[in-house]
Amino acid sequence: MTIEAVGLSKRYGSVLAVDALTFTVPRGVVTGFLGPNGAGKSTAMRLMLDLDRGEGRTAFDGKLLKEHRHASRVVGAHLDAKVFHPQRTARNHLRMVGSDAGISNARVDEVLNLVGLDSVARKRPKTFSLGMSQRLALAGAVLADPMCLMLDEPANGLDPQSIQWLREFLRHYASQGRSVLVSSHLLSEMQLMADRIVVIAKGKLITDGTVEEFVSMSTRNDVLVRCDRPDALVELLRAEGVTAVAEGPDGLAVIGESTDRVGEAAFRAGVVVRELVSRRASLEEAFLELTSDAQGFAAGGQL
Amino acid sequence: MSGLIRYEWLRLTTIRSTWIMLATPIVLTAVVGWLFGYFSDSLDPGGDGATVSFGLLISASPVMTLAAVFLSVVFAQSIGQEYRHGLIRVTLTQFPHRSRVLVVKIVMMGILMLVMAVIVVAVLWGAAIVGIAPTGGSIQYVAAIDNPLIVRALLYVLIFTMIAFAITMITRIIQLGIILPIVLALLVEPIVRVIVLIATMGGGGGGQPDISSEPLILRLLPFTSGQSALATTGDPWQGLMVFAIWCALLLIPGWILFVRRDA
Repeated sequence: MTIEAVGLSKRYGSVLAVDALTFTVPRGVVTGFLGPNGAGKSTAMRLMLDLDRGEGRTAFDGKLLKEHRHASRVVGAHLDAKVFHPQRTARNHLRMVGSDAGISNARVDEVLNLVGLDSVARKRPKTFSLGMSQRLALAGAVLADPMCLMLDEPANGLDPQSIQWLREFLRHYASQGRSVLVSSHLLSEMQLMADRIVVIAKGKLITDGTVEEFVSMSTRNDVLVRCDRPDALVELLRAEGVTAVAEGPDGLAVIGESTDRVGEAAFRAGVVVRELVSRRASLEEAFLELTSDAQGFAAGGQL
Repeated sequence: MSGLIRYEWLRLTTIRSTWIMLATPIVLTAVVGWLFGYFSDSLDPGGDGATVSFGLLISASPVMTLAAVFLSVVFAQSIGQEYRHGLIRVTLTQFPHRSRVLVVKIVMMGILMLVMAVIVVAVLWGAAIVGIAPTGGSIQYVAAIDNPLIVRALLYVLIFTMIAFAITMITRIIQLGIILPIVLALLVEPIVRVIVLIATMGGGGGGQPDISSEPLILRLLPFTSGQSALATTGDPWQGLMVFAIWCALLLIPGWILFVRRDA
């Protein structure tokens, strides 16, 4: 099932929180939803689920969510970890959440076991840690085995083992032909988890594509060349209109060129090459660079 | 729709506070009913001394208002807890038709309120009989008077609790939905009534007010009108009608806001 968000917009007074956002969450892959704090990710997710009133349309396999007979079979959402009544046991919470799809108690127990909460199934979640609350919220999202998952920061509060489990779980879930949209601030984790990413900043779309495509937009992708006469090489490169920046006593960072081209230039300049390596920006580096002007709430204090 | 009904039923029955709030008015009614029966001589001095009309018991005792107060907590919680704990997003993701969600809530909770009001009336009857038995008296039931009174009492409880629900729906603050009707019914409106009656040189009687002969402003006060529905004199149906109109006036904007606002 494909999710298509078209023209999502939301205004809070004079602030345009989400601005004509259009993107697709294809089936079969995990799509990361990235953006700085205040970028509008959570608002966009709520708009997609018709929880917030705004403009635009989100279609789940071509139909609005309310046009599907059982919405819980279409999409499972986890928008906040602490979404439960503190006095209702975890098991009863899931029994209630599974009402639309007619979920059996056996399935409730199965999902509790899946997320590792079977031992506290009959406990009231008021004492649950953030990690346990995240698991309960995730259990609620996957309970009806929906075709789409929309998760807002599901890894917050999880320990490294749980994050690894979550990554494998979501990749497996998507591999069954389902759509998975996950927002997260853990960019290194997202690089491992997501096949595609949707990046937004100040409510606007920055990119909607593969992680590779996004990273390739970064100027931090360069070629490092270390040689005996970097001055000669840089002179030749600049004459050919290539940007090269000195790095260390004998190094040059060449931007926007392949190792082949740099190697050929070094040959023409008659320099002895000691190292020639292509460097790729990480998702985090690309994200920080490409959204640096769009921090909604940036920390500016000096330490 | 069946999924929504199941959802609402589980939401209601799987938290302890629901049961406490449902049991409390029954226990209180039993106590009050017994006390009224036991001390019936002083309650009905104009009667034959040992026979108390059931209508007087409903009209003069605070049980229906007490029941309404406790039951309004349950009704208000049906929407207030959804907002308080963020469950509204879970609910509306599963059931995106907001008006259907409200219809099911109102119908199910309304039925529950009526059933509880019937139980309260029955317990009042039973407790009064038990209380009056040692005195050798009896509870008199006059169908022509008491049947419509009981119907009005049930509707009074339903409307009172629905007002709490509507206020919660508008404000999204469960405490306001619960406390505002109590403050209005037991504090603000009685004070307004006394002020108006003093100003117009009239006199306020005890028990449930017969407001049909009072100034217009008093006939338009929601809870004073509602309580007049429990009276056996005047035009109690008119009071009930005013009470119901107030309820509708709160319910309609609450409904519109629920459908149009962000969850």
